[in-house]
Amino acid sequence: MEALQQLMMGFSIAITPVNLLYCLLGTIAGTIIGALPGIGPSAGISILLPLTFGVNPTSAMILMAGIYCGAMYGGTITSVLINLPGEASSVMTTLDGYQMALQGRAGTALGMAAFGSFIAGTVSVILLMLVAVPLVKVALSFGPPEYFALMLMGLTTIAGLSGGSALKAFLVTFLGLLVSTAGMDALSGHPRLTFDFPELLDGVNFLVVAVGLFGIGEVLYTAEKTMKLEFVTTTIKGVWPNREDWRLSWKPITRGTFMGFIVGVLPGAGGTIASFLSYATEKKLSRHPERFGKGAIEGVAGPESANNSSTGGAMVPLLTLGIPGSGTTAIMLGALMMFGLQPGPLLFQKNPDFVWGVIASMYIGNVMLLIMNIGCIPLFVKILKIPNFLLMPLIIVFSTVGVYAVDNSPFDVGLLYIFSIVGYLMRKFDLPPAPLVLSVVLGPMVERALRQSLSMSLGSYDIFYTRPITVGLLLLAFAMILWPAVGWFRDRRRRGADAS
Amino acid sequence: MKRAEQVLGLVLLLFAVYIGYESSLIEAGAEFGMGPGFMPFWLSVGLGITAAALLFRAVALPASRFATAFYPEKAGALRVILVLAGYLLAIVLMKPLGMPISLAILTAITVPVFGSRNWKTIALTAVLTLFGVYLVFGRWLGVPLPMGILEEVLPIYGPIY
Repeated sequence: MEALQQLMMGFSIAITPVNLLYCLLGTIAGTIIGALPGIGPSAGISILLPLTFGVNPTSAMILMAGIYCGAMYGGTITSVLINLPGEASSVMTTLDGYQMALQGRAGTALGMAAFGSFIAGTVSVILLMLVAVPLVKVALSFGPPEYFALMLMGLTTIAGLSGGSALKAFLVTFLGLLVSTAGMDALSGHPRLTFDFPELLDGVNFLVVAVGLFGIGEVLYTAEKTMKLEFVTTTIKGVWPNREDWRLSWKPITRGTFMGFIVGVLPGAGGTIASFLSYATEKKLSRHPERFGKGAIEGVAGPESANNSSTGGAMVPLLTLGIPGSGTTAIMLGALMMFGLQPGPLLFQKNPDFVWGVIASMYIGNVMLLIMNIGCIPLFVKILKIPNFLLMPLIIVFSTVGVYAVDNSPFDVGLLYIFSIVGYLMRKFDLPPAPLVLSVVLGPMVERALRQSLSMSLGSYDIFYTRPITVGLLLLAFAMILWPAVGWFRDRRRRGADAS
Repeated sequence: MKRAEQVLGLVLLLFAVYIGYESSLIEAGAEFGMGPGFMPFWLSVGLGITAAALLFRAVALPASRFATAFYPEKAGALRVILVLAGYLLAIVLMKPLGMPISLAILTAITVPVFGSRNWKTIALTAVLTLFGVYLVFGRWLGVPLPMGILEEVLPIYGPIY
């Protein structure tokens, strides 16, 4: 009941003309960003963030949430029409979505993806409300040791579940944490890792890292692999699914919604893993698994619902605990801190208008996205035809001025150049960028929580194994470190058995 | 690619050793718990261990487990170098020429790299970048852009002449 009252208050904030405009801009930008191969929500938010300077934090967050949700919708368009995922969480949609397009059913694939995304996105916001309120009450009892353990768990989980090599993910996490320690020590005032650059005394701004890694790093990678987008069709017809399509899709949508939400809450998992899990589940449960990969609508409905639902899930740890679980939410957290807000349980008490305004805008954003994705797909297809020779220089220009605008610092532009090269090399070496950005954002918070914990215990490390929640979270963090090793041994044993 | 991974592991290992040494010069202890040097030192140890593991992996695994070449085609490498060189030039010119002009030069360099050789397109995009950056960021969003030689011609504050 309390949540409903708060939600009503949130709607009164979200429906102001300015916030509706930001929501609309965010969802349009998100859909385009999601549809463009190579640019994901992380890049989109970090590149467009400077445009929100001077805007109130609620409107800025509404814009970011719109981009985040819109990107999940937009990724489907290129997956279905070009067989190229607009962003990672749409990879599974290419398998059946593209086949449907080849069979002349591109409209149905896009329509079902839009309806599934809308249902999943809306239900995930309801779940976010239901979970957030009790979780905030629990989180209010957390002290620095619990927060330290929680952040450690977040970092190890994103590294452990990053999908590629866990070794590389952990390496990148250490690198990110090291970057976060650069600058003047908050307690003693001692300069650390500044290499005699006075500009580094304030530390490295997370936006420089995020824009370099996700924005210009990706532009450099695109420069190497020039690609031409070839559409199966550009005339989209029959976006309204028929009764048979609904009969086949409602169960995958339902399962995808709940699966996506749960996976979204977990740090490091996110939309990509949610859509993989959903696709695998649907194929396993299907009476005709042989249809998958040949244009089965369940293979589009399930994963698309799952990746959209994960956005609501990902907002749970961000808003309630102030701990991001992915690269995109890490950028959102950094942005909120730039706006002077401290995400965490107190945010619900101190800034209820902000939290509930954003939650209410997510409902509105999903409605906007449904209308856009049903009615405006041909328009988005036209936008996708913007040539790279215009888009890529535009990204570099926007990123450069945006990073400069944060502190009006030419030094930051120089740093951006370095992080762009780092981002490009990371892409080449298959090093995941999300753990690095997450560690840069979480690093100072981890250090502060560790220091506060040790001050509480007068320097004794006992505090970390005498508090039950802390012990539990630290054990989970430890399990996440061991998890890739267990997987490696299992693979080795299986390969050995296969060979023999 | 195997060789490239070896180089990466080695470079990161050396970087970790250097950071570890630098951090060891900072006070690691404090009255209660940790001093300013504690985190950087132990993080450099963590980075060193993972970098050493990466190096070991790159040496021990057969070449067949890695992609064939770091740059499968030379043209791709050349395009990346061109963008990076153009970007570096823009950064160097940012102070004397101003941000709008330097970014217009960068655009003129990168447009052909991404596929258009039409000089009219290149010139038009560069000019639009110059005025776009000035009007959107300088005038509309009020970012105090370094204007360089354009400072008198296109002022950030006050009326546009």
